[in-house]
Amino acid sequence: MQHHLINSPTSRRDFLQRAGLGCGSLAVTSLLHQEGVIAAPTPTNPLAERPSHFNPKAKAVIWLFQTGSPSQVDTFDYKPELGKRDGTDLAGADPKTGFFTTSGKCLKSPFKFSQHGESGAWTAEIFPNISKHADDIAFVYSCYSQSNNHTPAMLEFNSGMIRQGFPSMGSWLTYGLGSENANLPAYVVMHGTKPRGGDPIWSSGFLPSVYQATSLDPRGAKPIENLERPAELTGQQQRSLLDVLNAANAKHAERRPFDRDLNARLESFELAFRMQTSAPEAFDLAQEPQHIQDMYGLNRDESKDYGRQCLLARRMVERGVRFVQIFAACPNTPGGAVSDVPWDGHSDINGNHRACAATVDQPTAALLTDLKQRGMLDDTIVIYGGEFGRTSDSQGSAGRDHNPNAFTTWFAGGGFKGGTQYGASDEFGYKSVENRVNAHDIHATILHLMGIDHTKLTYRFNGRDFRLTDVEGEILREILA
Amino acid sequence: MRRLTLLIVLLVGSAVAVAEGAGVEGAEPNRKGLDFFEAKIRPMLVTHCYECHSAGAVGKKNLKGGLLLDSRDASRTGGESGSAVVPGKPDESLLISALKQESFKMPPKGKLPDELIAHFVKWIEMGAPDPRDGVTVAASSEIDLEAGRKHWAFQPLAQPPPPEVKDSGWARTPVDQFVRARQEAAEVTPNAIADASTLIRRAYFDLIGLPPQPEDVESFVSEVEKDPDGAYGRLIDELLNSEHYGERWARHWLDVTRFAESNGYAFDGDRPNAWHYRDFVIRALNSDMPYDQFVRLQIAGDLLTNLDVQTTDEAQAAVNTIAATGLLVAGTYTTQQTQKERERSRYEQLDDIVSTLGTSLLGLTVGCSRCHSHKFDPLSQFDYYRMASCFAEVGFADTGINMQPEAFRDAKNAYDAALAPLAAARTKFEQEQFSGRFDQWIASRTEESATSPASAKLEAWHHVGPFAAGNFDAAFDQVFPPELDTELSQSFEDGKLKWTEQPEWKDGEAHNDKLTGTNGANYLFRVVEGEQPQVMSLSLGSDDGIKLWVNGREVLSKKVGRDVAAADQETVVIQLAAGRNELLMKIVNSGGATGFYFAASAAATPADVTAILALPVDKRDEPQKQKLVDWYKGYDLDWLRLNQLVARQETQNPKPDLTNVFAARVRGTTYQFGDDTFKVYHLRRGNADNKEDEAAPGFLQVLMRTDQLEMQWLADPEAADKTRPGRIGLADWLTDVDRGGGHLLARVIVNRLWHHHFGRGIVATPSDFGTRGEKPSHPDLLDWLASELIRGGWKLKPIHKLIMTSAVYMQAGDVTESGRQHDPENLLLWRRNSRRLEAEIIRDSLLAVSGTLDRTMFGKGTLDQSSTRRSMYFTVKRSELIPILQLFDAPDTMQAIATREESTVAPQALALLNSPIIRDLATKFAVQVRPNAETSIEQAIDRAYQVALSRPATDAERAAMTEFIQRQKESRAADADAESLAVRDFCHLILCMNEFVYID
Repeated sequence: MQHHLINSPTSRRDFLQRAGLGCGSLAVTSLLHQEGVIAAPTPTNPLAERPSHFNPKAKAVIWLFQTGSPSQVDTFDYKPELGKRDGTDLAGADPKTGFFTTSGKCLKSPFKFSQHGESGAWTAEIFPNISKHADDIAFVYSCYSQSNNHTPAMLEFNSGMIRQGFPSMGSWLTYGLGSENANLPAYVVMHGTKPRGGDPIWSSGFLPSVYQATSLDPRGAKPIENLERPAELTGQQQRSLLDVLNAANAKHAERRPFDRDLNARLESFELAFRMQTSAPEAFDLAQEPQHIQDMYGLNRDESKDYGRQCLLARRMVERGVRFVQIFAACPNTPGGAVSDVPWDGHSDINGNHRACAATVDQPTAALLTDLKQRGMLDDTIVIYGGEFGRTSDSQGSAGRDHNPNAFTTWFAGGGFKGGTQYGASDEFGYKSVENRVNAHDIHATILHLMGIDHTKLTYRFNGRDFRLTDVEGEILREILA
Repeated sequence: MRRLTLLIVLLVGSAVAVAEGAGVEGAEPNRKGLDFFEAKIRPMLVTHCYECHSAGAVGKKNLKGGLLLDSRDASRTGGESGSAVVPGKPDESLLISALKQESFKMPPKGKLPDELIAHFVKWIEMGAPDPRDGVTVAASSEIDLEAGRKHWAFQPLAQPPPPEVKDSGWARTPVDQFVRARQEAAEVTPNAIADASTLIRRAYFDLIGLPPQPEDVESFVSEVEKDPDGAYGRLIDELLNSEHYGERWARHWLDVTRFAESNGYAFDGDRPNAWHYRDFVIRALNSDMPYDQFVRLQIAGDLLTNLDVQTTDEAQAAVNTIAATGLLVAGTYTTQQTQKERERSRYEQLDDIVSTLGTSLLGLTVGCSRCHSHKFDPLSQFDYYRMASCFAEVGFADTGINMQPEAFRDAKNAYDAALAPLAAARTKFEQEQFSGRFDQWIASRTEESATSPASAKLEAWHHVGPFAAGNFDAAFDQVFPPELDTELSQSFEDGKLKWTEQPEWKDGEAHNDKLTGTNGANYLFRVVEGEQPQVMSLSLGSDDGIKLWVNGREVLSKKVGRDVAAADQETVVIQLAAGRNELLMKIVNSGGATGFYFAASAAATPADVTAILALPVDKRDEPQKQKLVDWYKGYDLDWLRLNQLVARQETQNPKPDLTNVFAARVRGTTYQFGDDTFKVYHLRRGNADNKEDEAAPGFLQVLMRTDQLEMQWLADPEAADKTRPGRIGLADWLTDVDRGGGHLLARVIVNRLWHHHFGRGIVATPSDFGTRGEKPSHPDLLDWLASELIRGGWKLKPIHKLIMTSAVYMQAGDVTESGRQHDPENLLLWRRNSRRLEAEIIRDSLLAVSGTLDRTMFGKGTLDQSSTRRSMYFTVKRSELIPILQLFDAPDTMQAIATREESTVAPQALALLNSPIIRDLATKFAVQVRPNAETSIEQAIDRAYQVALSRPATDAERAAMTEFIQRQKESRAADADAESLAVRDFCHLILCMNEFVYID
């Protein structure tokens, strides 16, 4: 470990003196540990659990990323005016809004909308199950992003930056809070086909690589690498190897009392040995009763992959995993999309969104129901949304192109106020106009609920103190409980 | 009174200017004028005037005389005393009289040299071309350069003599005197020299990144007994001369330069020729290329490379120098772009270059001044865009270099010699025979009706083939023997292929079942007897590609893929002479079925030819006459025979053996967005939508110590009014110790060496020497080393040796009481810290001890994880980083990394315990240490310790491991291989030991 938190005493004192320049209080806490002012938990373990800035509302995050970008006006942002003007010129349309060129003509939603719950939120007919949770959900209708291109926009939503190389929110949270479960990774990403842009989307950037996500494809046989012993070794034989190894390492460390990493490495072998048992247990869905598996849609072809992602997310959060991000695995992606961006309905919104909704609606609702019935929803944040929205005018006759200017993201649990609606797009859902919200605002809000002041969680890299929220970020207080 | 006079003069002057200057001002200032402004005038204004005469000065309440000189309008409007700049009228411009100290005395710090004042005069005479519209750029005025230069890193190198120390016994080099002096002041006692086996292991890993063989350790230990100092010095020399030194240290440099071989982003396209940069770095380090030259080549190597190479040596040198600029273009590049993103992406790309150069070479976070002037260091946003402007025209490209110029020249000469007589024969024929024959043709030309079928007899096809090639393209391009000679009695490929007559292959039918061959070519030949000159139309079909020659002239060439051959896939009009005409057709197939179609019909003489023929002879112009002659050639069989010989020889034209190098190229590939693609503008808040003036090349003002500014590096020494490319000037400025950035450049690189030798630099933030970086722990030592580097001609190997032969490097790692008490963090270097090996070296060591390491150097890398070459030869594909390297903190290559993280996490242990790769290496290691049952267990244990840990096992260790092997064996009592499996377990254990990856 050589990041700046562990530097020379002189420099650390300097650093404390200059703390006003943007040094985070977390970092200060850590420095005080280092100085011996506060007893350090385990200075050698970078993943040791660390105190938050203030009392958190939430302990964990499950982010259901709808890769490829669902259309706001065909899901949760009801725009009757668009239906009335179907086929007519969309006032103020910029045909260059998206990746291709759009028609400039209004395209009405092919779906029926209706109101749900006491809050009366409008939802499209393709979400019969999510609709039942209308009063658990806080809808934000006024999101926007910088790029009209999938990969940069996904980077922005994960790291706040449209270019590669910056840490994702999950990494920042792991850096800030450590890991609650020593036997499992703190930050897990699950995907089907990897989303466009791949691993850099959930990169730990310039943060130490211990804070990087463990990414896995739950459709595969081995969700985590190297969990199985070599066939030549029984558990007892490996234990015996480990005992002799530990003795040798302990003797080596004893002669080098100043080299602290040596002890950390000793511990890491023990943890590895334990993970061989604990990790497979967390991934073993056979332990779930049939009715739970069915509730998540594991018995239906359309929803079984995404359902498995959602159910695994719940099991991991139960076991102390702090941040789970799911990139929706959709087996069918008609209507102009491909499997790394399933919601990308360029040519046929109706066909595409029906297929994708058939995948995600039941498991998403099941996750909310399940978290609630276990009392976990109160301290688990659920985020649902894509990297941008889609155009209100048509691409071709029945599709929609990318639209970074307006889209909907919704939140549930973990300190969000259910049954609220925030921000607004214009009457065609083309541009966000009221209480506009960007990735920095969402990041600031999530960090806040996790007990972290987003302006104070910083990391020094190449001479600059970086933040997840750069120099921006407004907490969305109006939708917090 | 004086003031009033001046005012009158100025009023008159202004009036004249308005009247006369309209022509000057009305015209768009030309490019040359603006260049002059950027090169000569703006830097002067910024440095000498803006402090008191700019928006920045207003902000600091420092504006003098109400005069602003930071925009065109403001300087013309002037201040309290009137217009400072009157275009075309230097005598009436207050600015000039002030500079000449005739009115005001400006700048207040002292008169500028006359030649610089002359620039201002010339500029105003040119009409004072000035691009500075509207709001002025935040220039360096907001940075206090004088105060900024006081920061230690910007100061000239101190020349401190090594201090005297009381404990002269410990110090071995001047380096030690610097270190010991500080220890003595803190009452800290350092360690004595480590034992020989520790030293050799340390030196091996530090310099070549591989463990010493037991035999190396043994002989070194015995040599040390005989000649302690000499033996160690020789060891260091030997390792510095090892070619593995370049591999080991190149990896450090590649971290700092975010080297990768793919574009990154969603599609992560490969850069298959980017590995040349990696090889350049290895070669440069191995040859101890002076560091200033190393830097210069990486910034401007493409501009310094002569691509017209004459010898193989020159070719290799050209590959190297051009590959050096791989540094500039190693950053990420997204190929999927929307129109709107391109300009923004270009500035991201430039930022990547400027930021990487800033941190890697100068240890400065120049990138921080992209959106606003640096908050902590004296780096202005103005300087940032001027630095970026040096790279305005940089794109990337694969540049081909002829690797065998001598052989190529010989082949070319032979070819030319063979061609010359053939071409001469044809020319002679044309000169001697042509005009007569042409006239005869014109005269005898019966008015052959364009529509009536002329008499021509198509004889039967002859076929030969298929001729095989490596792939479709090669099959299409390769000149197989039938193209050179259509003598039908020939056979090919030892008689396997022969010409055969095919009378059944009728015209007007598709033949999709007659030809065969994958990635191969079939040739069809036939004779057409013509009674008179005529034109003929052919309908052709082919599966896949086709070429057609008529009387040796190529009339069709189509490299296509098709499912089936059919009529009218191609149509072509050919000329037939009177007599024997030869048709040769080549059908090229990629795979599956292959075939052809052929049908002939009458055709008209092309209309353009008929039209010329219809003109009276004296009305035909030269091109028309030539066209007619060219047309006639198709009817002259004698000419066609001569021409065919030329054409056949021309197919033998040798091609150079090109090596493609991925590197920077002026106006190479980049994001394209029109006229501004290769320009750099000053951007407000770093936003490409907020452009201000175009930026001119320039450097960091804080690292310039004379008033002449960048012109001293940018001016072309051979042409006074010309400037050299910004990158050349930048390289000169960077390496200029006395006036530019050279002193900082030297400090930064010696600190990097120190950092890698000790695990911590003298400056603990090797890429941040700014005010927010760490201060040097031994500032005098840093300056002394930097001076030594420069004094030694910028060679790095002597600095390595200086450091490594010092007691501070050679000492043991024991904990001394005084050290524990006074300096627990070991900042004063009283003990040697244990250090974990980097990811690549861990893997290389695993390969080495298991006896499987392939030491092949250089060349294309691989993504195959089972490769046994050194890890630095893995292809660095950004989306497919090698998992085992990632696990041990190899960089993700998105940004420059100065100090690798060293994480210690469970997945590393899981990999070591469970990965089949590691178990396999343990198995091979076991075979190394115990090749057969005759080797005793004790011998195997000793050998394993010596190979993996460079020392024999202690008695206690031998006993414990013997017992372990026995226990593992007994637990497999039923297994015939129990003992070898148990030895395997032991070897696996050794590879997991801390001692294997932590070096004392």
